[in-house]
Amino acid sequence: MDTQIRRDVRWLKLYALCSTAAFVVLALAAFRRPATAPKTKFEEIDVERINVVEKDGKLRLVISNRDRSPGPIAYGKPFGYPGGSRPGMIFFNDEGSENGGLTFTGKQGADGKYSSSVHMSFDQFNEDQVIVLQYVDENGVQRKGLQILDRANVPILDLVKQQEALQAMPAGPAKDSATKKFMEPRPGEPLAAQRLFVGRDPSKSALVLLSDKMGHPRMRLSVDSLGKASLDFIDASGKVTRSIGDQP
Amino acid sequence: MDDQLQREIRRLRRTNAVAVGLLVIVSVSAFVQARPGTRTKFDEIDVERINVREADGRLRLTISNHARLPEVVVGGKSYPLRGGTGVKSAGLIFFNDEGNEDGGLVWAGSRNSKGYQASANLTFDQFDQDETISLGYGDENRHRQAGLDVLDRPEEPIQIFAESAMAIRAMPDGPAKQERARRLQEAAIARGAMPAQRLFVGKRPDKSSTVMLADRMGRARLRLTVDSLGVARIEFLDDSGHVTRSLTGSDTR
Repeated sequence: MDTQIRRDVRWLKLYALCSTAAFVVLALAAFRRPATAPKTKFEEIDVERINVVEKDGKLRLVISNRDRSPGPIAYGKPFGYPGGSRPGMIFFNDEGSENGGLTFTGKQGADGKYSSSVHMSFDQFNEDQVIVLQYVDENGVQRKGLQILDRANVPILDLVKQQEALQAMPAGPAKDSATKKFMEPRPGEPLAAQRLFVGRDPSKSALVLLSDKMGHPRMRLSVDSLGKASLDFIDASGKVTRSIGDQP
Repeated sequence: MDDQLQREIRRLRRTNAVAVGLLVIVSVSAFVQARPGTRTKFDEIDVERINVREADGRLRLTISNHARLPEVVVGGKSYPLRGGTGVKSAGLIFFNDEGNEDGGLVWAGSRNSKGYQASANLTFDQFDQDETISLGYGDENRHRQAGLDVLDRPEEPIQIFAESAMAIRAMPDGPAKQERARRLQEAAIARGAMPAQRLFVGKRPDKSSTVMLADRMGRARLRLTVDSLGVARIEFLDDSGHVTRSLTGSDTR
């Protein structure tokens, strides 16, 4: 009888040892971060947001639905307006600052009117967009094409800070003059100037538009909604100085 | 006493059996892959790279950070030829039905000892060749270009170039290496295997905005420009780069 009990106890000890060891291994495997990141295979995933990050956690790309889309981020810190309005992809440079995006929206209101846009843009370093390829449609009023812009050599974070300071000022002449000064061109350069547009504008004209550094159109190739083709030279005040049409 | 002991031992055995059973179930369910045909739902995930593959494993798209950006794949072979300029791009790389790279959407930008460098590009490649459409922004310390490029590419597969480039890269730095690179370029010119820019629409580092149309050799033949001073001009050029006719806003002819 004693030997039977002794054998049983030995067995139980062995059981206990094995199951404890197995448990430890399992717990370690479950909670330890693997040294070499594994590749996981999915056939299809549903996701509300994907963050593509560098090893140190720095954001390089966000792919997300509308609700989880980020607001502007510079050097890893949010600024400007809150997220939730930009479904699609937002790009980030090596320093974790936003530098472009590919977004798509479109919905019809209860009144039957719709608004829609598909937009891809690349930003100047630490500034706003300088290449914009987009389709914007407000219930049939469409603008679509490629836009190239100049941006001032002012970091966008500085501009946002200045803007926030302006907004905090009490209404009055001081605020008005400060606002005017903010909007004025920096030494010779406006905050933003469209240099080129290739596309179709809301008046249904097909257009190639070249502009000067202040953003004023100086050459316009167009075929308007009635099919009239023309090539116009325009001066800085917007006056057509020479027009070449289909008649010699 | 013995009876009591035996009962306890029996109970312990049962408990142990149940525990081991549970452990097996947990381990198996933890390490076994999801069944095929299932979709997995996440609220939000952090990832360094996503590979989109065909069912047979062929790569169609990578979405990745810079560190995991894939090597160039041409002719079914990988070439570590990316990032020679030190730009740390992240983004999307596209692959065709044969698993060869055929485009991408990548971006980068950071300060360095000389100032900063930034770029962003969407490119579509000619079959078995390099980019034939490129929409991009490039900026080195305010030396900026942004616009749309359309290019002709040679008919020969880019793999020929990739093999030579790899051989040159493996050589020690020095005059021999430079000479080899120069000869590679000359040979490509001689057999007409150089790319030719056919169209550019955008802004140039000289602060002009321009529409440029070029011939099959990549020579500008028609140029619409508004320069940094706001002067608008249309120029026709011959094959040696001489302006043969020029229209401005002040002519009346």
